[in-house]
Amino acid sequence: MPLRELAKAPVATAVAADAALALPLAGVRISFGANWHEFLRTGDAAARATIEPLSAALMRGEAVLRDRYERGYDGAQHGYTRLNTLHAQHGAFVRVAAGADAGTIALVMPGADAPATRFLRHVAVLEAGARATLVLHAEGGSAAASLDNVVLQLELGEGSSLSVVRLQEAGAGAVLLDRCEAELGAHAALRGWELELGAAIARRELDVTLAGEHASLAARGVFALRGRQHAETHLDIAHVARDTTSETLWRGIADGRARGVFVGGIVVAPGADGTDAKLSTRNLMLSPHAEIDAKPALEIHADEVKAAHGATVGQLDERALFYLRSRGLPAATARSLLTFAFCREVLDGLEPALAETLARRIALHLPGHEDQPA
Amino acid sequence: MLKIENLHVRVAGREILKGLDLAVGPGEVHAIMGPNGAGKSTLGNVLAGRDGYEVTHGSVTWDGEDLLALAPEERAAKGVFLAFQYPVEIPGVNNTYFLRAALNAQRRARGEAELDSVQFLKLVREKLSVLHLSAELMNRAVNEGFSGGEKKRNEIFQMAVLEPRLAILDETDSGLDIDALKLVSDGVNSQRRADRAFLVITHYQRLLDYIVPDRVHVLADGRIAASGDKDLALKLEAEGYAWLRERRAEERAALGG
Repeated sequence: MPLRELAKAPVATAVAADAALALPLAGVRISFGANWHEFLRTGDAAARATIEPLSAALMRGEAVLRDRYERGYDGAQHGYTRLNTLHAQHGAFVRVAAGADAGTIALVMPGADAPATRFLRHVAVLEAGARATLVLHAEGGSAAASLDNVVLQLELGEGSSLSVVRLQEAGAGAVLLDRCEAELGAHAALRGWELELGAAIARRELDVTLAGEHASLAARGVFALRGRQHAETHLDIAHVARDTTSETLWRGIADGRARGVFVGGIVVAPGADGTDAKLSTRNLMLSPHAEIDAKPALEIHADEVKAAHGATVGQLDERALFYLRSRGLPAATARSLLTFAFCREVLDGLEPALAETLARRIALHLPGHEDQPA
Repeated sequence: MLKIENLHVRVAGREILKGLDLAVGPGEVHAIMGPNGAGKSTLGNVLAGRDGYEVTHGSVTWDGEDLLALAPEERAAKGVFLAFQYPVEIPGVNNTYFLRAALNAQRRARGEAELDSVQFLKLVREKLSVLHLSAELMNRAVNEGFSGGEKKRNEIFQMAVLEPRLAILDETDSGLDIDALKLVSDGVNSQRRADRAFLVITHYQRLLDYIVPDRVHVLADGRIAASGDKDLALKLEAEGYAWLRERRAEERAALGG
């Protein structure tokens, strides 16, 4: 079957100020302001959670930050983190006390309205048994050229539980170097949902170390790219302790001349017996000029391990397309309905109202989005 | 209203229909029977507009209009409906959402007012009860996890909601047990109207015990080999398709001699 012709729609991702698109979040919202180094805080954190500007925490010599800035800086630190360590003076420092539930904390980076280079460092520490949800939102809104380097460092204490929702809708001129490093103690659980929708070039790294026994990671994500967008997602998951689990599910969509890259790296260290690792990536190319490279990379150095991975790259199912059209749906509507359905699964497990809003936001970034359910 | 003349169709380079003629008037129920590989499903797919079916000769007109020139969704809007032999599972697309979008797309194309969700759900409830389908199925993804019988009933349910003027049932009886067959047949019979024609494609006569046709045609080797009333189906049931092949062989021999 011939693919349809290239759509020549502009890539600008204008997110309307529509109430239906507002994220239904209760809790603390911190925006890094139009001038991004402002720390605009609204809402209240639950008791026993502290949230402060990174600079304030640095000034009082917070030991965790000191450790995070210094550890491995001489060599082992990852390039993006090193770059960030050199420059970042802004961000949020979050600490959730043992057993406390911090509720939802949203960290928002507005779109750059003029050419800018921005470095943000967020550090969150969950003490034993603590719970929290972090929402990271890179907003769009303008096409100004910007280079943004964001590093999020997470420490999950024993039995703690953290959900991270990341919504990347950066403007059409943005270049993002975005990295998350997480270290999980025993029985700690990290759940992630990642939506990679905006920016001209975006590279996302998710580096998770399952350091304590029975630590678990469940992460889902999607990139939906158009025009000449380029997005890369690199997972680097290390099963270090025994009986750790990871389940990762990614969907990729590329239209126009976009290029998407997914590298799912999982390493099971010697001695990490009882590891259970599942990785799945499915990808959809909507144009003959789009490109998607998907590579699961499993490295296993332990014996008693369950590991499964699957990767597919394909096009829309012609049988499904004909079925929908035979019932009267125009071809473009049928295509966008199928495309939307393809990535909907990524939102499974999220609180329903948030999942609905995020679904609408994904729909805005898909070809023919005007036909989507409102 | 449906007129097929000298239709020749190739699929993957092979000629499947070889000069098929058929005329179906308003309100008539025509059964197309025939052995496997005769081209029965090809006929249904060609009428619905599936890709990959190349019409090399002949014409199909629907209310005097060239049906073959229309896209599948345009045919649907003009009242053509195909009940699939193998209904497609579409994960992630909600049944109710899909059906309302389809109905409203057809209504829009015909210049009719769209139904709001209250009007639509009222219509759905009416039609569901006729087919004894659970309302729970409507909240699932299209055909996903449906049993074989549920899929076929869902096809007939969609037909009931979309109210076509030409309904093509492509082996709707295949894979159904006798109870499901009765349910599906009742659903079809309840929708017989003076202005709605049916083309019932089936391998077995059994379905025609329940959906009694006005005309029966035997499709063999890409064309209509015999036509008659409902008794023809009984003859086929008793004698199989072998006598047809013999008759064709005699005809060929006569032509050759």
